[in-house]
Amino acid sequence: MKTYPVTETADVVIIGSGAGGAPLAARLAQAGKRVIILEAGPHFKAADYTPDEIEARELYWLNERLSGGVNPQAFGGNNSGTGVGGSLLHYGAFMPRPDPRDMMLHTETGMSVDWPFQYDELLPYIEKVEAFIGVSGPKHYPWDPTRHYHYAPPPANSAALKMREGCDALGIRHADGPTALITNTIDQPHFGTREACVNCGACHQGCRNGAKSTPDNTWLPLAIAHGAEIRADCVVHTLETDQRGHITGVVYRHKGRDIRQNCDQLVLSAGAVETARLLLHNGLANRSGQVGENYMTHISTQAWGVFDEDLRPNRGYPSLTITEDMMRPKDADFAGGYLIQSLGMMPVTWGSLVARGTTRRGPELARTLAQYNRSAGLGIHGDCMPNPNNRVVLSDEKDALGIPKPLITHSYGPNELAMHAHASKLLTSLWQAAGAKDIRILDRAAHMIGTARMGTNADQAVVSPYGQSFDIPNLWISDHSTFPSATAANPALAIMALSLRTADAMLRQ
Amino acid sequence: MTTHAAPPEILQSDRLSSRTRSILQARSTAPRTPTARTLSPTAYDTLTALVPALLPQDELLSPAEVIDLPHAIDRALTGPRDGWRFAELPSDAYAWEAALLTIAEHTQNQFGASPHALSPDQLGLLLDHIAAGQIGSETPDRLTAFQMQRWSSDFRADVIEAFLAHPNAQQALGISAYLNGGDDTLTGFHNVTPDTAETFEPSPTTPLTATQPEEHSS
Repeated sequence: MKTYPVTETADVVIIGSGAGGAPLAARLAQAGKRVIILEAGPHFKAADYTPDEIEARELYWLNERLSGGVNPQAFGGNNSGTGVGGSLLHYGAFMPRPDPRDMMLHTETGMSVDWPFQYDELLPYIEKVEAFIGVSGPKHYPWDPTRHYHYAPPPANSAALKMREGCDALGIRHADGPTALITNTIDQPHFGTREACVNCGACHQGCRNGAKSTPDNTWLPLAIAHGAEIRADCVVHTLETDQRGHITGVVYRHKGRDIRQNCDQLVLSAGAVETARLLLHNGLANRSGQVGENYMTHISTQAWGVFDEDLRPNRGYPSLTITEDMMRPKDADFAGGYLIQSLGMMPVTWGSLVARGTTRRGPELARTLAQYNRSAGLGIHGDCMPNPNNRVVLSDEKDALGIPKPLITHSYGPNELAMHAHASKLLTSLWQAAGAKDIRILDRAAHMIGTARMGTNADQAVVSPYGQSFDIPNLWISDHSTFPSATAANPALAIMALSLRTADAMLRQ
Repeated sequence: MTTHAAPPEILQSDRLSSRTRSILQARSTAPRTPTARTLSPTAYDTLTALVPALLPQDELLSPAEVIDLPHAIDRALTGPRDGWRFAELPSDAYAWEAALLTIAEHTQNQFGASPHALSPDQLGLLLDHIAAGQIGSETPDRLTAFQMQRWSSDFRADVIEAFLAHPNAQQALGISAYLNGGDDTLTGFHNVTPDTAETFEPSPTTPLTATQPEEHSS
């Protein structure tokens, strides 16, 4: 890896090496830019990952957050990672495409907001991402016959088969979902061998054989091959500006020392909480007053049931079966829609849901835990609307670096509650049809979205439709902070597609 | 907990990586000292009364296999946490201390006794009332009823997670989750469909796994 002296001004500094920062880093480096990526977390070795769920928390962002509101969100797993590769080191790799209608929900329903451009604009970038990182999927995708996946899906595990049964009984279409993993061994350019998925089930604890498509086995080796430098264990706390208010560089803490790195352009790819926190802490790019506002999640209601067979929910790719039939349900009393996926799960993660999602105790709790091997789940990802009550602000408490800890407020609005109720009923019916007993509904939210929305009006948005700050022309944001609404799809694919699009915009200037 | 069971068989599996094996071994041989490291003696004593009311391990494990969950929870309170906490609660270690002392005072006021003097049914109802936001204190260094309700979720999660993370529990419940590959090869699972357990996967030893709970929801 090429390294640059800290005294040299970089063309571009990128804060964060995950889905938002890595694709852009590769593109800019390929175009000859001198790129430095600052990653707060360490450089993990994939071979050292452990399926032990407690120790695997090393992949989570562990700098404490305060979670409030009526629906306080659990952070860490399923939303906030650390390390070279970011949250994609621990993501579940479920990679549906956004539904074009979700980007125009205001036009469709009068609720939520429209994105400042339509799906057609994003599609070429989505296809580039899928082709480059490796995404598996079915030959025929029922909800979009035009698309093509480059790898065959992994085998359906117990939960995936049970969901198929439930869907067939209720007349709901289903398919193998798009998953960002490879099912045959390849030589990834600039990285080396990525082995085929072996159905180990520990995607969320880090993929040990390179089958899961992550920045550290795709975009980042490409970036390094073109001269980008990744600096791990570097926590940026200060963004510096000149008299015009333009960014001149950043100061980061590395091994107890503060180091200044100057740059011509700065890209924030730190995620919906940390990107907003950095801007708020430094008092920058917030003429719109929108930094930290409109924090969103995905409605991620789950249903779990107990079956007669020995299902072993830890085995196989956890969430293979998908249906998009509920993207606009006929009987909906809400705007937008949701995806449903099958759910296997590792035991401690599953136990945590039993703990937080039920009030079972005593012998009844013991009986519930004893049924782990007979359990299977269904989960949704539902669209979530911007809501002025949901936001990230700086709390009164400071972290070890003296930066205020973020306080995140999250409450469902009427649309989210209606979608949760609809899904609870349907998931219960699906599991009843599949023969499940002891069906439990878990009310939960996943992912994090919003806080620096893009738009065309500088009074109402933080960045332009390309991610450029309205206030500071050499500051860009490339992560899910910029999403105007959540859409129902897991965010990683759209983040990476937008990242490539922002890179193109930066190169045009 | 003076007896010691033989180490669970899964620890010998060649499907465990050496790192995972040492993690599980360390967890299973954690020194069993009666003293708490994080919590005060009164708070720790309260914790040891509450944990069996939430999760009666004797339903799932033999007496020799019962895990010292209060010990594990107390130790974990001073280590790295999970990266977030409820906004309404103070930092984790402080919140646990305050919550447990709130409970100790409550049982003293209500029953004139420490939590250990309460029957399992009384302790169970106590947990229900905490979860329902009905028990709390307005005095300094204690938690309000609303805070206690939030803490109740953390309490449940930490107990259940510490249980399922322990090799004794995984062995008894027949869980193969961490047996996904040794150091040289990530073997994963060839069989992933119902009723196809492979020979290297443990079978449950607790009779509860064979029975179905009554149909209901909560």
